[in-house]
Amino acid sequence: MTVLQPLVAGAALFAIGIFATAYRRQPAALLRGILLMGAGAAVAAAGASRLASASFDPLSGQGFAVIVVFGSLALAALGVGVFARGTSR
Amino acid sequence: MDTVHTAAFYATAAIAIAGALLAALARSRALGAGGLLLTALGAALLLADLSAGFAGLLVFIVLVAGAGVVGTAPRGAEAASSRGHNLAALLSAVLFAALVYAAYRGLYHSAQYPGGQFNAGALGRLLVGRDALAVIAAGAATLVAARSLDWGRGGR
Repeated sequence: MTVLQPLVAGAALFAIGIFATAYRRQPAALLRGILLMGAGAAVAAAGASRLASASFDPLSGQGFAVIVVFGSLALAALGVGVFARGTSR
Repeated sequence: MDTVHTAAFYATAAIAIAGALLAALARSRALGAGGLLLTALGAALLLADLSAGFAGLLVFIVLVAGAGVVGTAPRGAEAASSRGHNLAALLSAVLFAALVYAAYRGLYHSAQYPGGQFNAGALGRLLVGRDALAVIAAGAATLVAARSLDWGRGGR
């Protein structure tokens, strides 16, 4: 297995997330897309870390994956708050 | 990587992508949440197969929490799809093709992986030691987002 396979799997998850965010107009479906994008970026980063990283720094991709997925959770929660505020008025 | 790892990789990638498609296309909340949970499981197993067990565990927890948080989003009537939405869907396919092309054409350093399978200690040292500022930023963003949930429910 080469680094190509994790990158393609991550790209597929990311593109599906973009699709959900761009195409769907329902708040929950739209916000699910943000989480899918985070998962895709995490898979690509961890795959690059495992199969194509420098030997002196093999874990940076995994650290990046964790930070990206936390960022996507924060964005999704912020979106839920904004949508909820908009509908409660 | 050996054959078993490669087979596990394809199986878990298929689970993650099937869950993502379900989450993206589902019209009901329950199906959407189920798709997100399937994606969480597939992505976590995928990361574990890529020797990133601890990162996979964190991704699983975060995606499951995300499924719960998104499940509380207000119900809004779905607007009819317009030409712009169709164009956006097409552009996401173009983006996927571009990313795959870039991955295919890229030149990558091929190296032996010196790390372990789970890497909890090493990843903790990396995140708290070298990347502390990024971790603080991610924590602050999560805190602000959690506060926004309360704000969205009418709190101050």
